[in-house]
Amino acid sequence: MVLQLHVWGPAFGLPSIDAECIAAIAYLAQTVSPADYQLIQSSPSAVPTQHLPALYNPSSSTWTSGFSSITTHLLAHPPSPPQKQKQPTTPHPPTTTTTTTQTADSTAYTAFLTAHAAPLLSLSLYVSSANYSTTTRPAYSALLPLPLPWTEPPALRAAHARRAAPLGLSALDTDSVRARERAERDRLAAEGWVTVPEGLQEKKGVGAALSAEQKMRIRLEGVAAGVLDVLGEVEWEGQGLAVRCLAFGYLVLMLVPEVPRPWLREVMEGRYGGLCEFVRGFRGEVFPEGRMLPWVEEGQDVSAVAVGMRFVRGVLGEVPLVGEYWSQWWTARKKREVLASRGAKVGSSGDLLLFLGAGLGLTAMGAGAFFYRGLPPFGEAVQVWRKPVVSLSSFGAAGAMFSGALYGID
Amino acid sequence: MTASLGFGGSHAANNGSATASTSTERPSNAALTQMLDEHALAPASISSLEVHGATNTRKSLLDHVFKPVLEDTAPAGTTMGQVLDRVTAATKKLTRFDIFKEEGFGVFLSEAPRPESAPPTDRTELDVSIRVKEKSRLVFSAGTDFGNTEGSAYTNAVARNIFGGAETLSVNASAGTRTRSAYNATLSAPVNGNPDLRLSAEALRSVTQKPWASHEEQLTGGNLRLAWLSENNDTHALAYSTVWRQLTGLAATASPTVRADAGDSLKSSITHTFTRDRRDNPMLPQNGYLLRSISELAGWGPLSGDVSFAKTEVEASGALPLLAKSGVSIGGGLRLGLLYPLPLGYSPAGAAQPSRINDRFQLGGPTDVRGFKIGGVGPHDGADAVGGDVFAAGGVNALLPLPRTGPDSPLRLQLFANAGRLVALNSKGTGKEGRGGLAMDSATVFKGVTSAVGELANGLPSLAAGVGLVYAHPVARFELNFSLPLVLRKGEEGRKGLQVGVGINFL
Amino acid sequence: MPSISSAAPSWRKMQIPRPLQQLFDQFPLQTYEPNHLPERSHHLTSNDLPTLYVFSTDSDARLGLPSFNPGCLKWQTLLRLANLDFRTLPSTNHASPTGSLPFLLPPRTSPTTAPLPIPASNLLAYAQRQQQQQQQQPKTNSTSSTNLDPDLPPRSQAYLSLVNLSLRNAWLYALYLDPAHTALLQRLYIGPSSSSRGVRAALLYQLRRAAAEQIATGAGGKIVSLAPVTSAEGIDEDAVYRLAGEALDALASLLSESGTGWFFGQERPGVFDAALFSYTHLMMEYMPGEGSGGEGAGAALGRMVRDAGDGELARHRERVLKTAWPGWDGYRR
Repeated sequence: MVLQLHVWGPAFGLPSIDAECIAAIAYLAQTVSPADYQLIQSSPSAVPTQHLPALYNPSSSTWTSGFSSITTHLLAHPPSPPQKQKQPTTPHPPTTTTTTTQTADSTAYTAFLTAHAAPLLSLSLYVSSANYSTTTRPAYSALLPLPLPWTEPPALRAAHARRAAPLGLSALDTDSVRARERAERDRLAAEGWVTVPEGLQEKKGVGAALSAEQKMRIRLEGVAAGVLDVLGEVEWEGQGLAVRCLAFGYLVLMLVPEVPRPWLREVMEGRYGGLCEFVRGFRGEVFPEGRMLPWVEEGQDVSAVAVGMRFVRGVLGEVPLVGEYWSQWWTARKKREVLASRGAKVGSSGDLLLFLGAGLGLTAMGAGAFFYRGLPPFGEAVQVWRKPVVSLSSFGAAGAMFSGALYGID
Repeated sequence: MTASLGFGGSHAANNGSATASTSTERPSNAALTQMLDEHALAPASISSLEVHGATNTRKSLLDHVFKPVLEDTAPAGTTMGQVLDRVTAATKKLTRFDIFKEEGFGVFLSEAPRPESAPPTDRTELDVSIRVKEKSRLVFSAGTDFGNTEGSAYTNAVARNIFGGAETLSVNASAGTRTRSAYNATLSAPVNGNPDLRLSAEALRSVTQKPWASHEEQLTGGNLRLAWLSENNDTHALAYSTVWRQLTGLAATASPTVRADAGDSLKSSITHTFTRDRRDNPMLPQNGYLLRSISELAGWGPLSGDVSFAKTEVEASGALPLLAKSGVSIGGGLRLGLLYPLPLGYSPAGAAQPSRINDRFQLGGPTDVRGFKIGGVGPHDGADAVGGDVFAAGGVNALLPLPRTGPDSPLRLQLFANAGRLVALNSKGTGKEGRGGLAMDSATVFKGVTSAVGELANGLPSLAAGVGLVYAHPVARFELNFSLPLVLRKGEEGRKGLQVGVGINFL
Repeated sequence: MPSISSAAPSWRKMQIPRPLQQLFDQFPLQTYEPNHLPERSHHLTSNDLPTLYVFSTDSDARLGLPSFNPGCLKWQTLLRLANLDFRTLPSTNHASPTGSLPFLLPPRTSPTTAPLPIPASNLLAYAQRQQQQQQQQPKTNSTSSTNLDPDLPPRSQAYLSLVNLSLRNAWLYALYLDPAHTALLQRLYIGPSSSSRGVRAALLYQLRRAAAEQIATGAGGKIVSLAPVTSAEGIDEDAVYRLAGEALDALASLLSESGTGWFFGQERPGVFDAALFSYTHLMMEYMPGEGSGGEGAGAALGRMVRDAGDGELARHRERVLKTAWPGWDGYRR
């Protein structure tokens, strides 16, 4: 059986646009013969794990997602006999004969890369408005079939911004900074505060002419150094294969893409020659020019409908209020699919109950509204009250006399 | 927020334009008076009463208004004057439902055709026809607001007369200078067809900045409220409310006291409010008096929640005109308040927790003790006004018309002196001295409260005096004062010089 | 009655004429002693020690026992290891200037001034400063205290991320999202906030959302929409626990490599030891996983700590406890 690795598609001349996907491809390329795995260009909305890279193993019919989960899975379920001899480009077969220190170091560096290199990369490719709009977004647009570029890249960017938020450099996102400033100006104007018209405002000095990146260059370099200092000390050649793949995945994306604000690449090339060397060496070894990766095209006829559905789901997720519950429900559904694939016992989904409940609720609301609209007016054009029937005057002459008498007394 | 509704009913009844069939036409007040003089004592009764135009108002609701009119005017001996009074009273009552347009009222009287069989009497049988115009049932509005002590912008949607029984649903969203955001929805309905007895349920959520104590307070909760207008025009309201309060968003400089109270608490309380307003003009009182009391019981017995106390606040103020019609008046006011910590739940002698900052009183600011910053009087921890459990505040002022403006002008010159004292309860001197946690037994609480009340009279109260300008806009009162603090306690924040005040309820 | 006050800022900037200034200076005519603070703050200020605001219970805080929040426990442990005097006060995130505990409030210098809080990010610098001051005073006892600024190798950063990423995610998942620990979560974090059921339910919902968001964001999880993942469904539970297990094994092997009993060959426990201890201690204390086999992996975080490296980490935890809380065994049970 052939392993299926679902990944983000290629960009910047690299096998994928995503660091973990590059790492997963690199790992498979070195441990599994090209005949035993397929690469499928995908996006998170197309796979049940909703996260890439995702590995589908048909022999156990299980889904696994995330780089470290995939490597663990592959170690536990080794694919059909590794034909190492035929693969001159796999000098580091996965071995379990590493020392405990090496295992520990691999674990630690994997965590470090996830915890620190990922936010740094997010900062460069996603948070920085200039880099995102000129490099990253066009790359995604090329990867995704229309209309998905309208829904998925913004969601990705939001996710990466959340990842990078702890670094405290969100001002690189000049779009949102400008939106905030505008909102603040509008608010002040609405409150009636007199604001200085823009034309009269103090002529902005050098600061205004500098890009957000230039202004924050020192802090950016500090953040980058905090991460790269640690990685630069590592003897990568002596590390386990998995962590080398992961390091390559992150570092190559810091180094290779042509971005308008190349601060990260400049820092790397300027101060961390060893890392650049490692990246180039690894690339030349694993992804030499002309190496064909086993990409597989998905059937076009299926995807037209599927893409439509993915787009609709993406749009649904952005609907205020409802969207959040919708994505929660969808995530839960997909999770059950994945768990079921692993043979885990999955409680009944309760979807039927949910649908029934939601349906009933909506129907009741609709019926209520319809009923209310259909109610006749509560009042009438003319509402009449008549004198109570029993009164003195209705007793005829005697009553009148009596009444008159009373009147007289009164 | 509450643009006062005029008493449309009386005008409407008088100004109702006539139709050809009316026998009793009253085109003007003078004519009306004459007519009333002539006919007031003539015997009359209502034969039938018609309401035109109440297309969306239930008959059962109008029954409560008009049935008594017919019943009361049916007995022999009812005079024309009484009939007219009853009809006028009924139309006034209608306006208080707030579902009919003020200008839409018209009352037409005509003599009922006499059945042929009926013997002649000297009693006039009247057919009364009342024309009303219903207000729009769904209204959206937006605007700015000088309502409760701050400026804000709001949007508001009102659905009136939802089920034909004068039920009103009002949904409100606003953001202001101090209230960062506020949302509330209120559903209210008259009880028993009586516009003066209303039951309402409200859900609310708001975030308010409290810069005088370096924090923000977020409220989420609801209340159920019964409000009524008594015979002698006093308003009462009885409300049960439950509010989740979250003290958050502390400033970096917030004091330890505020930090200790940060976080969540649930207040579940019953509140009674009484107001007797006999002032000639609430924004610029020249004559009359105001009594108000607010009593609150929280957390005690079945109320539960996180805080437990009894809290009461009374206010009395009045004004006297000097030199009739000159626009000169003197006024004075006094406010007192006390918060008494109670044990939570049922145990009467159990331990009580001391009050939190969001339950304690704050004093000072342009609407109560002028010449102090907001919350400027009372205990301060650093720059934070942390509030107190007992307070007394009073003030006297003289309002003088400005030269070359008459007594009818809304502008006045004001001379004032006001004083206040806000004291926090603590167990100093009660023998407890902070041992064994925060809780205080009932004896300690009593001693603490007694000593706090005694402390009110310790030394002169914090005092300020000054002069200023008052402008009474129908919506709010604006003041610009120059004041100087005369007596202070250390830590209290007086304000020397100019101070602007905007509000609707001044001491 | 609050109201709009304060003159426009431009008036304030205006120079007050000298005679008027002299007149103003005459006022107030009389100034009394300050008002007493309310009971609650009186309780807070009758102490001249710095106060560390942590998640804790009233009684634990009074005795200075370990907090039940890893972030708080780390700093509490470190300050204790550094032999600094402080007291702890139970609090909530709302009280913090940064939105999360812990933070340290230096003692008051006068009854009417409030000191500025020191957030967790500056606590290390504060502790170092205090330590230097103590060392300059000759009378201080000569007990060796922790070196707060040791030279750790760069790979310590990598191992620290095992604590801050893998262990943290596992702790967050186990405590907040694993239904097996709902009762514990209620007792530790939600119960003290309010006695009301509605408020507790709302807080529970908010906490769970925040925890799921934290884990998903840190681990680069699912992307369904612009909004973050906000429920346990979006998180790969197995991966979280597997990574925690690997992290514990790696840390145990690092520790045994050190040889001194403390990380990186240090003579005294330091920042790294405190950081690891804050998780291992809580996992063993609150999720012992003893005897109950069927509670799922979440219940067994404590067991994972005990098993890591043949009890290496459990022994490390005991050592830290003995150093920082010498009388620990007497406090509880």
